[in-house]
Amino acid sequence: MTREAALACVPVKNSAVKEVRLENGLVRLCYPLQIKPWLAELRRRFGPAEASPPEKQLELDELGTLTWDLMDGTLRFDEIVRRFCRETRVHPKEAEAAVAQFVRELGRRGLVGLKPFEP
Amino acid sequence: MEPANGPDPKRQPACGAKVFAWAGLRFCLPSGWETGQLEKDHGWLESDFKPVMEFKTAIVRGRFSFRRHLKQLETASSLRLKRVDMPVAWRSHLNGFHARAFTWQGPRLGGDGLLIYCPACRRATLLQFFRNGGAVVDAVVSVLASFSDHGTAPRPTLAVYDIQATVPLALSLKRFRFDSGRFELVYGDRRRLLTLWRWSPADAALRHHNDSLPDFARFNGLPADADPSAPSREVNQGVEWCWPLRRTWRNRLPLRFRRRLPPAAFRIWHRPAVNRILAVRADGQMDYDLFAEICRDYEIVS
Repeated sequence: MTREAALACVPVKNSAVKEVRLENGLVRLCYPLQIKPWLAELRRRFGPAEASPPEKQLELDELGTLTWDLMDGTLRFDEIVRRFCRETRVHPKEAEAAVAQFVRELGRRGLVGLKPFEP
Repeated sequence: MEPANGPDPKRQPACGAKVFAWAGLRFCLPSGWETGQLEKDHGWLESDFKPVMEFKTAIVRGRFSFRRHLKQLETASSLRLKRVDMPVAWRSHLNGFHARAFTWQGPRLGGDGLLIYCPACRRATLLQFFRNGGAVVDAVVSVLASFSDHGTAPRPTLAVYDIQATVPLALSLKRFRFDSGRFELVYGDRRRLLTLWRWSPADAALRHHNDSLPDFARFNGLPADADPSAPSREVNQGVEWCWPLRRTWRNRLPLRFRRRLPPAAFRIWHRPAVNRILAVRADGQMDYDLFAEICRDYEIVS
């Protein structure tokens, strides 16, 4: 995907992710752990009958929380970068790199995806 | 247009806009343009996340040939180049330079280009302007009107992203990193080393260090051989440490002839209004006055 195409996409949160707002205003994400099929099968056969799927937690820092809050499913990537830039007063290029890295990392964990923008 | 002595060496960017200075080049950034990606002698400028200009520069050894360089550019890249006459509006701003204009077309993008050679400093510079809806045409004139590649007292010598500094020309850029949130540039020569840092956003960076600038400095830039408990001096919105220069075999002899040893120094200061932290460190045989002057000129521009 080219940079131009990525900037025009909308980051969308995975609906399976649970969001917990902490007292200090930061966000903790709880998401189901993706395990290999053969491990899942082992767990189903030999694990406890009522076992809930394994979960993992990720606590975001303040910049991560800000970016997470900006991802409302309607804002394009470039608009998120602009707002991040306004809020934190960082340079636009730095904001783009920071937001891109954050979205890439969440995407790798399956917490967000990118969809084409539909006006 | 092609005098033997080169352009006026005192030519300075005279504009109210933000100045861009990198790799020996200096010009005013048209409104809305920002630094994109930078390499040692190469870089891109952007406007609203789109590339608007690319530059490449180098000192030429031997005789310079426009034909050979343009041919090399065409064969080394997938661009189709076409020589065109220099537009009149451009020509008037290139007094003292030798220059050739061309148009270029790549697989997805195209635009106008300019190969400039300065006979005074023997520097060749390639400028490629991207055609993004035609708004670049006026900007080209603005860039050329303020373009300079050498000068008697160039200030600033560094103006990229949101930082601006004047570093003595004798110190060359050794290495640099522009990471998101942290910039580091190292200049030096055989006897001296100068490091510039910039952190952003400052509030987030300081929060991990109890909102204390000295605590932050201990983990960012203050070297291990400096005693952090040694008395530091408060400077304008910051702190400064000086420690004696380590006597190595390399600096023992020159120091013998000096009454007072130049100290190694580190200064860090906070700019709350722009939410940035700046720091400068001098190592080796650098005069304190020069260090203080570099610190004074190192600033945030927005």
